[in-house]
Amino acid sequence: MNRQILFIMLIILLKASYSYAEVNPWKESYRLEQAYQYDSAINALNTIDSNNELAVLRRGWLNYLKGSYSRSIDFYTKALKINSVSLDARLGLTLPLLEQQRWREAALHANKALEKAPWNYFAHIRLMQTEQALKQWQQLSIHAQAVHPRYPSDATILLYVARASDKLGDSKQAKLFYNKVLELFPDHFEAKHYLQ
Amino acid sequence: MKSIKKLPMPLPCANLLAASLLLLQILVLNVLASFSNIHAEENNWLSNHTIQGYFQDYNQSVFRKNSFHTAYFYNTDYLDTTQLGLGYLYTYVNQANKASITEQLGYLTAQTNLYPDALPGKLNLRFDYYTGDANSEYRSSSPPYHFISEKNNIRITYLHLGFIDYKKTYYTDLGYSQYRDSIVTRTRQFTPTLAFGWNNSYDWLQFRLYVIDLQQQTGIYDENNYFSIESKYTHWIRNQSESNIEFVRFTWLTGDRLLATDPDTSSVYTNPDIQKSSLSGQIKWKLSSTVNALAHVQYDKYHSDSFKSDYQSYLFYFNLQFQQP
Repeated sequence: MNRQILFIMLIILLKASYSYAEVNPWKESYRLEQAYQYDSAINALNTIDSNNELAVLRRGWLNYLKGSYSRSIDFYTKALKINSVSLDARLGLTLPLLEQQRWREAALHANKALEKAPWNYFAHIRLMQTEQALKQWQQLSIHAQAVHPRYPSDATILLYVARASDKLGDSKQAKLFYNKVLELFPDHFEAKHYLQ
Repeated sequence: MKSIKKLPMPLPCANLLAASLLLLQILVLNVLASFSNIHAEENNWLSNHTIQGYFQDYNQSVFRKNSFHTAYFYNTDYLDTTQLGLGYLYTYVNQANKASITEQLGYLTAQTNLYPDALPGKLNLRFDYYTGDANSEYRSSSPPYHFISEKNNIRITYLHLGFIDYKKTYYTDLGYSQYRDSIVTRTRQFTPTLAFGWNNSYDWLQFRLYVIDLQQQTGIYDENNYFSIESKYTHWIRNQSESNIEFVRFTWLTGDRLLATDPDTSSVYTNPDIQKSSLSGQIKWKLSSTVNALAHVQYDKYHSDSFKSDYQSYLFYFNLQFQQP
């Protein structure tokens, strides 16, 4: 009986060792991210070369998700040093910068992304976010209206036009664009509130 | 002279010096890092120029009649992380019996913002330095009457560590300043500050305590410790398209304040009389995307320990700020 128990324990131990050896760090990291265990998801990448571009990008992203914005900036900056034309790194960098309200620096990187990809949606949206934060209403109005034809079904761009118009005192244009927002989202709180 | 119990300094001096040196070191390193940054292009520096002036009239003062002031400041900001500035301040004080004071100060400031992940906001380190002199001219009291000139070298340093949360609901700082002149006086000033914002940060209420410790050489002043509290309410205008007004602000001071350094206005009160109370109002206009204007009126009550008398002053201030487009 004791020999049977020992044999079974040995099988279990071998199986566990075999499973451990098979853990894919990438798969493990994605799994832990989905479970909101960001620290563990970062640690799962420890076996990967620290200069691996994808790992660096991923560390930037995971640190952003857990709210470690300065660490996130460090990793995205490192990713840019590895690959200076990476739009993923450039646009990734704008996320923690926006959270830290470093508007001008975020705008700098959004503009650099647009130099390589003139109609990149995320770069335009993040640039609009900085223009709104800096109260550059004229610039925001012109910018959002220029981008809107490229993305006619996007409500976020319509909102930026509406807000800028309101701040510039053009209530007629503000109402026009808030109505466009309601065509896409009939229950949109901000649009309904403005038009009441 | 009154027997005054000297209050202990809020912090041991050696620890304060060490903390100040550490903060200065961090500030200098961050400023240097801004200059060496890989993307330190010219347009990452945002600059502005400010010219200001005020006229101050004294009422019921034995010695002071009125004063005139003008100043120029240049400030530049690198991507919300580092700010550098310099300025020149000129003040002329018209006194009784044809006496006058001409004061000229140079001003330097350096600030850096830090964004540690451990805190839910940003830290601000700031260092200000004022240097210059005040030339007093007065008539001799006995014949043969002639004018006597007296030069007073002035040095003021200011250092603070501030914090504001990302949601912009509160702000706090601790400031330390030293005032020294070559004739009479040396002061140490502590200014703990706390401010609260609400209404999406369109409204702010700030309280700043001024704790001033005087080290006087002449015994002119009756006391060596001065306490006052400054309260400041600011309301930012939401819809500026109608009036171009950016904000309105009211400030009131109660208590006793002497030779104070005010970091909010980058000004120093070099009037050697005790400021007993103050009430002021400010309006700032955004005239265009690159030009701002600010008007300020202030009423102060002063007490002169030298002449054992009280007086008031009315101040009218205006500035224009030109920002880089």
